[in-house]
Amino acid sequence: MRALLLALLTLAPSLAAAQGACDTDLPARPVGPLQVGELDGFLAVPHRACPREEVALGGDVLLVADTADLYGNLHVNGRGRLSALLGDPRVEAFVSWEAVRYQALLSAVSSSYLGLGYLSWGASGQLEEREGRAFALTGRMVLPTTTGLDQSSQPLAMDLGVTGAFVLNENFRAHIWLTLLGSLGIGAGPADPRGGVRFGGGLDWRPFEWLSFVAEVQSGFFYRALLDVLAVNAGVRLALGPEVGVELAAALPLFGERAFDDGALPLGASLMVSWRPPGGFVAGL
Amino acid sequence: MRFWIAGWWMVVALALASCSPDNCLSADGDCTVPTPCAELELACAGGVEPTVRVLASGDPIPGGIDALASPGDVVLDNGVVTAVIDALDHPHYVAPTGGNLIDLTSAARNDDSLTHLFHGVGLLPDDTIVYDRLTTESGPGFAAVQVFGSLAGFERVRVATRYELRGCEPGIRVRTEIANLTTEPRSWSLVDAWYWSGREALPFAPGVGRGFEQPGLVDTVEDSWEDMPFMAAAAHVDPGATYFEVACDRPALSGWHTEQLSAVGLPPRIVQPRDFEIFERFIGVTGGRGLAPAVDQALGIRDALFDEPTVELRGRVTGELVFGDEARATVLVEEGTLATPPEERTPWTQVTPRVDGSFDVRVPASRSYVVTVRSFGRDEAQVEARAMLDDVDVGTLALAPAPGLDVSVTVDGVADWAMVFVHPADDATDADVRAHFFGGFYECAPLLGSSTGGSPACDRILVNGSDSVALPPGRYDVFATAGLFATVARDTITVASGERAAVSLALERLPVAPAGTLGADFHVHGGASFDSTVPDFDRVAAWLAANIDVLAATDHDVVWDYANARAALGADDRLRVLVGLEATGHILFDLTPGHDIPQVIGHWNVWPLPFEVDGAYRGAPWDELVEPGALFDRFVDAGWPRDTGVIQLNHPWSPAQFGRDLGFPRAVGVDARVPLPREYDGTGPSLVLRTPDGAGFGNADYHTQEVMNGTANEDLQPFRAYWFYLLNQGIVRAGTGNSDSHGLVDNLLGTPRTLVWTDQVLGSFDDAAFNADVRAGHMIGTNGPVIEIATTDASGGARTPSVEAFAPGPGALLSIRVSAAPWVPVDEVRIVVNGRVARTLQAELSHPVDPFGVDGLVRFEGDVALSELLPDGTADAWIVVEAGEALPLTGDLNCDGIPDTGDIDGDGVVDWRDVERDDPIDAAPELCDPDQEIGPLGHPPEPARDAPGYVFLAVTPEGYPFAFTNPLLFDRDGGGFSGPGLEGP
Repeated sequence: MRALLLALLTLAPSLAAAQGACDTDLPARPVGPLQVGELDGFLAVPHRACPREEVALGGDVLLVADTADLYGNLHVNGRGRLSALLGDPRVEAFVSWEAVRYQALLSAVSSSYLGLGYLSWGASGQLEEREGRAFALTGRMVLPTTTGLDQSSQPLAMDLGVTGAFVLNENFRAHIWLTLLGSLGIGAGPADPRGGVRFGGGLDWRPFEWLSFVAEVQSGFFYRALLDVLAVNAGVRLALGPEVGVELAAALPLFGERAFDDGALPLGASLMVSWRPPGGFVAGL
Repeated sequence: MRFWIAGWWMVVALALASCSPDNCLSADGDCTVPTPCAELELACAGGVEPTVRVLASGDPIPGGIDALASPGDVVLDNGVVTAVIDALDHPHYVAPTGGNLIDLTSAARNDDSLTHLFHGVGLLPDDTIVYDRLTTESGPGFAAVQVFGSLAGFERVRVATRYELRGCEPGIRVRTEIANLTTEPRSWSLVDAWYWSGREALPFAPGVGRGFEQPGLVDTVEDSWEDMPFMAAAAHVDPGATYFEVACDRPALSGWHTEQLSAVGLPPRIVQPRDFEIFERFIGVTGGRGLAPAVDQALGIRDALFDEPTVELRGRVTGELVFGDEARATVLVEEGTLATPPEERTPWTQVTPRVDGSFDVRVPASRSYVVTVRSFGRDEAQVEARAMLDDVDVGTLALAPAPGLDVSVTVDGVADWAMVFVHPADDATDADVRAHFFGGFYECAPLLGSSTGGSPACDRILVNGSDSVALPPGRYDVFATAGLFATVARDTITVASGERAAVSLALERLPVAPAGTLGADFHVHGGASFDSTVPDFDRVAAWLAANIDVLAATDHDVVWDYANARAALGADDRLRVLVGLEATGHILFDLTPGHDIPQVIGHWNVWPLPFEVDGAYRGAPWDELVEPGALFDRFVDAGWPRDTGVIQLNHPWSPAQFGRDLGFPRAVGVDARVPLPREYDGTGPSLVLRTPDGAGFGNADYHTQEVMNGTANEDLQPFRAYWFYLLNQGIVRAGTGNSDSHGLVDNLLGTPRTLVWTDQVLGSFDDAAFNADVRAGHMIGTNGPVIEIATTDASGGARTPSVEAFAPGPGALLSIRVSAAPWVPVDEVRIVVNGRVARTLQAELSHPVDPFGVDGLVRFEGDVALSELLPDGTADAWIVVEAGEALPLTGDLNCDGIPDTGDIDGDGVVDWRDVERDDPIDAAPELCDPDQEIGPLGHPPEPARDAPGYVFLAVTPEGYPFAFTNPLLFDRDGGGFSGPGLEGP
């Protein structure tokens, strides 16, 4: 792990050492990788390298339309997320829960589901923050808490990754990530274990402190296919004062499973509104 | 760190907990699928130790109207039930491989009425199951067949099915396991698909307002699934079986029913990756015509599984009955009271009274029931019964004695076969007697018998000299007919309850067909077809009644020669049977480039083919997943003589049925306003003339095309337009007229027929020489009128219709003679030149006075100078002559050059208002929108009972008189016939 961090350090762009990677005048503005992903329970969505306490509410939409194959998958959810520091300001625990999930499989015979979604929980530990860069190690587990979507086999998924954040200059920040992911089925059927790796990076441009635009490139291998995904993500972040932040993000898989190169129309989007109490939950409450 | 260690241990623990699966979904090698319905313990007796064996050549095979077992298939037998699983390399119909149930008989072993039972998870080709391994197993008290495979479109979806037969049980226990090991969620409904295919078994399932009345597939498709405690279906023929299915592992089946197919099993749901489905059920069979024995078994199984007690309802029907005749008397039992509206009752069962009128059925306990006796399709008597925990005697239901009709028919003074129609003679009788058989199939007035089985069927009887039939009271016209070239006789009767009427009808053969001709029907089905249950005996009797000389036995996807029935009736002394096949595509594939929906290539007739008494498909080749040219190669491999045999393009422009295209040109999107591409250019129309890669035939290497198909002949104008379209481009195929008869009711055998000019005579018949005349186009198609035309060529020789072009002689005349039996109206003769009517003769025609007489056969005889008909110049040209009624008004709303819609609202204009739509619209669609709804073509208005044309309609249901000649092809420029082009001259 240390060697990996050194390698990332070596590859990191020229850093603006004047600001810390986690510093911000508007603490509520979201930072780090965009929170948008196509796997259930937000598996393999990289976590930020800067721990914080916050609660967020929002929703996600995922649409995969492949008319040539008469296949469509529409998934809409309402989600809540809670992050809290575990005594150590560098260790953050988080839980994300699809409180309501609607999914429609569109085919010659279509089906739909409305119920609870997946719950994921994890922790992130910041390994380093200095000279305009920060790194954190994050682990996550996704639990099958649906009410009837998974019937005979319950999926269990985990990921483990490292995220880096860098200050390039006053207006630009960068982030990168490397994540290992895996899952299997629990039940009387085949476990069918799968594993893969994802890595990517992005740029966060802040013309103003309260506004930033993010662009990312994400790649994944082995989990669903040799080339699992090669996508571009884009987002906009707002800080509505010091305590409330908004992130609107979209992901567009260009290559990989059910991607543009397959002739499909895939699109994921996420909207989250977060509240970060000044001084943390204890002080905020 | 401790946090993550704990997490991983939890994962390991959970994974270990699932390491002892009770299924075969995780197994890569052979595995034993758990026994289905393990909780079910059936008390039964009789039978023998169950066995499983692979059929070898010469082994006895189960019999029945739908029996298809052949060597290599696997048989399960316990003396009570015989089940045949088709071999993996013997796929049938929609299934891409074997491993499915193809025959299922009761202890009688001769009553298979099952077309096919296969499995799937959806409606697309990729949703069917491909089995690639088959194992057998037997032990004390059981025998089993296991099949393993995947979904057709997804190798990563594992499937395993176990068919298990136990001693003395009246059916097989089945378990199917399927796991989604792809990386995406899927929408599945794991079902048993019972392929009835129409005119076969009628499905029944209890439900409010259901029973035989099922809504089928609705919009949206997923709303079609309804829960039902069981499903049952009977073919209502003799010998025939009744089938039932009950879920073992859940309280209800979920699915839907149409006359084509029933899908029962699990409701649609999203199946996430790694998730799986298991479906266990009992599939049973009983002998006989009614549902009750099967329903009794189904309810008994439900009692054993779900503790649902049943009671017996019994009673007696009195009256003069023809026992066993379900049309005369059948008993329906519905949950509800007499005060409950019929549409709110729940039908539970149906039974045919025994010889003594008694009946008994089992029904769920603790409910009220309405017991109805239905006679000739109408409710006659009802009683209400409250059934708690004890059996109930509902008493006697009295039927008024049915009238009887005794018919005797002679042909040329001798008792012989004839078809007798019974029609209401007034509107009041029509309203009183019009009914469906169990609400399905054809509407009949009166309903003398099932419209899909043997005689009496619907409103008609096959009579050999004399016969008797029961019928409802009323006033009737009774017509007898012996085919197109004989008189029609009629008598009118009035019968009240208990009365009998006797009619004697004398028919006379008429010299309408010229010497040197034979009447042929090149499209005939019987019970061997998947969509027919007419017994062989009745089928062959219908040939004799139609006085047909030659016919092609062309059953769907199976060769059948009707040998036993032919021998029993001495048919071979009176006609010639050419044994062939109708190749009928079922498995959809990507046929037309750029077309989003997968298709099939339509239907193709071929004759002759060798009949293999126990061979797979009885000698027919597998006909799926290839273009026509490659299909023709398979015909050759199956023994078809390419130099002397015939291939026919059937119903080239018929709309698709159940998602399967019936006509190849329509399927590939031919636009009859533009020429066919002569080279393949990647478009659909360019498939018509293409030779598929590696094939020995082109897709257009057929010999004949149906111009007339079916007694109603409603698609004549599209078929005719397509035929003209090809002739104008110099693509010449002979035209035929055929009945496409599947039974005694759908289409009258021999109406229409093809009249072939040939030297062949019955008694010294040379198949190859006859087929040569067919391929040469020495024919007309007709449902009554006979047209003889001739002209002279440049050498002065006589020329008659054919596919051979010639140069016309100078000053040549077109000689025309039109004849018809007196009951066939001929209102006009049309001379068609290059696809356009150049001249219509009406005033020149003569008309017989008495449609029941023998005089007035010749309606027109005369000459017209060719110079008055052919366009100026030396361009190629062609002439076809037609006779009959004026063609109905039609339009081409989607502008593809083919008529598609008739003047349905009768306003004299064919437009969007004539289109029959599920969802009405207020404004016209965009002009020529190719995707707009179109049709129907409709039928001409029916003449009144006292109108001259009524006699024709009485013996040609929904038809109108029409005949056509094959063309005279004029090669005027000496360069060979290349056609005049689409625009003229």
